[in-house]
Amino acid sequence: MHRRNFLTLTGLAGVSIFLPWGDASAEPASWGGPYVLHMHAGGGWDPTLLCDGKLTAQGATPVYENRLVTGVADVNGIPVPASTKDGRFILRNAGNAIEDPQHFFQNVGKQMLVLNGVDTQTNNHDTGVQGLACGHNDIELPCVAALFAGLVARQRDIPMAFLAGGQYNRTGDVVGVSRFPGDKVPLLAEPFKGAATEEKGLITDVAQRRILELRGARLAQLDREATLPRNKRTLQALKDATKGGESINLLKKIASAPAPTIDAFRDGLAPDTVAYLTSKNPVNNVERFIEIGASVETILRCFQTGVSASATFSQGGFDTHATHDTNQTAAMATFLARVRYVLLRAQQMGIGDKLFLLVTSDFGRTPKYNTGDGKDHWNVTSVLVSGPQIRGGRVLGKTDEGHRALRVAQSDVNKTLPYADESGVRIHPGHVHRELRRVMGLDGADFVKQFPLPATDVSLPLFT
Amino acid sequence: MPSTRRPRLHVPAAALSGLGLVVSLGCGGGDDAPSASSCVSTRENFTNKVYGKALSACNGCHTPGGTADQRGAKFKIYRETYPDFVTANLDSMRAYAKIEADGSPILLQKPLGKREHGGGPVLREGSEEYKILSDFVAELRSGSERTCAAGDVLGVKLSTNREALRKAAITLAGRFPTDAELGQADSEEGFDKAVLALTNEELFYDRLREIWNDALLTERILDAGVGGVFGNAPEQYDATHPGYTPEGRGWATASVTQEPMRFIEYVVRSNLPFSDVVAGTYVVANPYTAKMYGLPHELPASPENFLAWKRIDFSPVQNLTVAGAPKVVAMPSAGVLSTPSFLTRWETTRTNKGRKRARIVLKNFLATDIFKFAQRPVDSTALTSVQNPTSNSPMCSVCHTVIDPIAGGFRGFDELTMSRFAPDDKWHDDMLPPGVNSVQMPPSSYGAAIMWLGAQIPNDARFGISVAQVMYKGILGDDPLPFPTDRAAPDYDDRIKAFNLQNDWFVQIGKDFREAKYDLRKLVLAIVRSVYFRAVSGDKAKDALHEGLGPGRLLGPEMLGRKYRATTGLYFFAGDQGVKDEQRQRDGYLRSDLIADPSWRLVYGGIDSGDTTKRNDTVSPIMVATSQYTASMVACRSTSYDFTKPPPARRLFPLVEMNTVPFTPRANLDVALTAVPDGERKIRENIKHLFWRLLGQTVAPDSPEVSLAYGLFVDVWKDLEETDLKAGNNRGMTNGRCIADIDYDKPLKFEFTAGRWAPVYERLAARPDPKAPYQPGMRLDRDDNFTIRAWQAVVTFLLMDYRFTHE
Repeated sequence: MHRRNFLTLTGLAGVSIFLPWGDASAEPASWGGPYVLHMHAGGGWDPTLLCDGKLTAQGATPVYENRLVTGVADVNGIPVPASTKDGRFILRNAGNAIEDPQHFFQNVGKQMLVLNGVDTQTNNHDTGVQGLACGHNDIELPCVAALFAGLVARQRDIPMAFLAGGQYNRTGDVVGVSRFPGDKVPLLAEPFKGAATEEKGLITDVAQRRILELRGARLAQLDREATLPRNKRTLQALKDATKGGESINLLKKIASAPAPTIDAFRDGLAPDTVAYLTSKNPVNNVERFIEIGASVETILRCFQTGVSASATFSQGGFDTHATHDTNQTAAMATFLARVRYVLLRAQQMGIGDKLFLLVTSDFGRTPKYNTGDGKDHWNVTSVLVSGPQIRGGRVLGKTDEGHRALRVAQSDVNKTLPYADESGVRIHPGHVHRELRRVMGLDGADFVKQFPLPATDVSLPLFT
Repeated sequence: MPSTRRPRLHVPAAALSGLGLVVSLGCGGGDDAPSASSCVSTRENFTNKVYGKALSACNGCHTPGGTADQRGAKFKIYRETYPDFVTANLDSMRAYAKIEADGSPILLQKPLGKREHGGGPVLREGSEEYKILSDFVAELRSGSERTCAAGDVLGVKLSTNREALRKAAITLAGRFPTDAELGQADSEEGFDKAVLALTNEELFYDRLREIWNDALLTERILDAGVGGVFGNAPEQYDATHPGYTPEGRGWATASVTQEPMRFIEYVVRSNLPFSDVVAGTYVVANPYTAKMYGLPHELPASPENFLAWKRIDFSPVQNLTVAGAPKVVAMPSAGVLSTPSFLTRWETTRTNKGRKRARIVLKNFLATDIFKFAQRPVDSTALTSVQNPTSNSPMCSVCHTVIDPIAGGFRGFDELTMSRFAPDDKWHDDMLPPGVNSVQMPPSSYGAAIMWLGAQIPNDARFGISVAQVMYKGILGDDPLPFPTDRAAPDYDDRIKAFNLQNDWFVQIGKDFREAKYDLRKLVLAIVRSVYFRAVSGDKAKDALHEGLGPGRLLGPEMLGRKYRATTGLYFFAGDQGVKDEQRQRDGYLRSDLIADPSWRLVYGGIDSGDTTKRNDTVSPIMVATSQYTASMVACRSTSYDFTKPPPARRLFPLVEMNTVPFTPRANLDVALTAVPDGERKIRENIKHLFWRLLGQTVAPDSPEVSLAYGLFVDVWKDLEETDLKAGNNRGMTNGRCIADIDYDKPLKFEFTAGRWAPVYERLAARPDPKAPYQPGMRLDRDDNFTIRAWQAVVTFLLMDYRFTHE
């Protein structure tokens, strides 16, 4: 069946059985969780500076070079870069201490499952971004965040089920794409008023009510006319989007929600970073950590308010073909701080235990430096994930001293096998997504079956 | 007997203008000819079965750059990423099928692993795939290739010429066609003339720049500081320079950012061949960029001259300091490719070596998506022992043999500043030499490699196809159909057929475009005449065959913004419609918030050319709310404004007056409403007019569509009348914004007050006595007959309609 038409063939009946955690108390126009947030480090991060720490290998021509890290610590089995020649390994941006990976995995990030040695099978940005977002390098499947939102949208008419801010936002038409409307929220919440503060609308109350009532009849007229694919597809999207119209007032709650205070975060920051992150940026008088988190704060508010079920987010700066150590740590510092913000803030909002968090990048960086002190594309990377039914605080998968992906035993994914042992399996994005689909309740939904993951990436019990 | 001429499945241009898309698929005559419905041409058979099935084991290695190609194999298979891959493969197979050894075609021996096939056996002799291949080779060798006679394959209904012209005028030129133009369109010749005329209008050039920026994404802000590379106009970026002003920097920034799109606009506006966009050896500059590049321009760099883009046949001048000594260097010019905006948007590094730029060139000017070559498992960890894998490992070379030579066309452009040019730059020895399509660039051109590359691109047949595909995406909103890969799909054959038809059409219009000396206006006409622009209905059960067809393209924020004005006379705006922005001087200094306000653009699914580069192609709930808001605002202003004009000059209400009411207003609530003779008929006639004007829909006055809107009119009217009787004082406008006070059709002036240029509008005449009959041209702030607000509701309803927000 053609993907674009499956919406017309899948009704609401039966879908809810795949949502065992559906919040029966939630209003029809809001969603009470779980939520999915996919955070992507755009450009290809270097996981050896985060969760797959390595030192320069032995020999005259070492297979792996690291000019920065001099010591690696074991945090719940996760090899975390721990020291440099100048002391503790801290991720900095322009010299300012912003993140401490050791502290992250020992504290706020301790529930995360770290997957090392993930073989993306590509050195190509677009393919890598796609593979990590949807689980398939060759076929542009909907990203997992869109699939989840599509599942929720079949149960609840929420206005912005899928907030698209990432690099790969394909939906396969299972759900509409939304972008947060910022300062337009008050206008859109009262679309028949010139300004939200005005007492009188642009048209009479009766006109407003009748227009909304007649819309259904008009859509039915249009539906009868629509016979060609483009017509059917865009009209169906309008019908789906119109369903969420009544709940758009929820947007007002998001815009008017009080801003978080830095004091609420202070205890959750790494000691070496507190001074900088709690200081104010003189340009806007906002504390640095609040400023760093602003781009994800809106997403979390949308979750909390029930207007969104999933979101993608991307931060760039990781394609460090030149001056790798400085540029990569700067990008990683801000990115990891944002992940920390998400975890801390989600707890404050009371949605922490309902949040699926997927943290990825296009691929990894080459083991050796190029002539510009940069590192190029390398198909081996790491993935961080947490959420309901995901057993975190541990690491699966491993790389060798040259940052090549080792295999895991199919019978026991905790067991690592040599690089060339073909009885084992290299962890691919497809394996990760098969598990994500399982814990998110996607694998039982009929409409998701239209988007199969690579058959060769069989089920591996990575999350249990 | 079936025809044995070489099959051509192109769409005859003449056929597209009439009843439907007619293609050669019904079989040629002859006693043994199958019926038209069962006829399968050689070409279709190749795509469906041979390429899709029998050759699937071969094309991984035999693709250009693949393992077999690397080892010198002569037999090549072009992947579906090559625009006319069917013709290319048929040519390749036709030639190779003739070669035989020991009495048997080599093409049938190699797949079995014989004749030292490098890939060993890939097919079994008794397999279905081998049988397909054998039958096909036999067909090629016997010269019995089959073509099919004409037949209406798609079976879709097309819009009339008038409907198509209305859509073209609104979506391409941002205006409603005149009655004379609609009449002219009744003839094919007249239709063509009318469409071509649209491509000469000012707002078409706005649309043109949008279409090409969607492809090249260069309108991500490039600061005027890039002028430091040239060193000719420090006052544009150096805050310590005496001539520096922030406003000047802003205009210089806008100029250098927009240079590629203004180049494209200039080429089309000047009726130059579109190939100049890559091959033009001149600069298109306004006074700001001319100053930045050290080039002559007769006008000073000031805002009112921003739009004075002109051709300058000199090279941009770079002032360098080399080893402490000043050195002046000229920079080569190759259309948009050498502009700082393009070079910076598609930046490079010492290790990327121009490949990203080459990817963009391939995608937008050679119809080749290099990423489609590479979507297969790549294992870098297996390459650590391969010296220079991009050249020596087939895993990498499949892409790099294509992309690296083109990347070499950007040699000389600095990998740190992006724009600085050094003619004696040493290129990367580990890459294939600069060139394109296996043709190496002569070393004598190395000093201006980009000019050599730019000149080569239009010589490739793919250039015409590529430009056609970019314009198609811009006009229709969809990407060209991808080659179907799901061979198990039950409708696979229909999908292949749809792909073939469209692919062949692209090949044909690309060829026509080339033969027309790359006249873009004719290419636009070809797209507007096509079934892809004009199909309006078909068989609901034929989705696979009809993929890519149908009305209902979601209008982006810019197109929707222009459509409001095209149909109602007013843009959507919150504050002022007039703005002292010299970029808008050719549009009467008017602005639409949906176009000018970046946040509205993004909310309505548009792009910012940086973080957001793909438009929404379907609406979201937020977009629905946005269209409600914008519709309400536009309806509020345009309804009352339209009634200030005499009926013949009205856009929306030419068939009614303000006192055309459905019922006689009552003296008190105890009296029953009585219908006004002819009132309903006139109102329905005007609603019919609105359906055509706003929605492009031809409906009867007594149709369900008109009845729905008439019901809305009556409900609102009754409520207003009843409220007036109950509470009195209900004869004003609902909201102050809906009072018609400004004559928006009159030219704007500006007055410098309070530190800014404020618009000064021509006001409508005062209405000294509200009880005296209203005269056209007067201020309108009362709704004595309850009709303005009732019409406002109807217009709001229609402006929110699917057929308004989609075309």
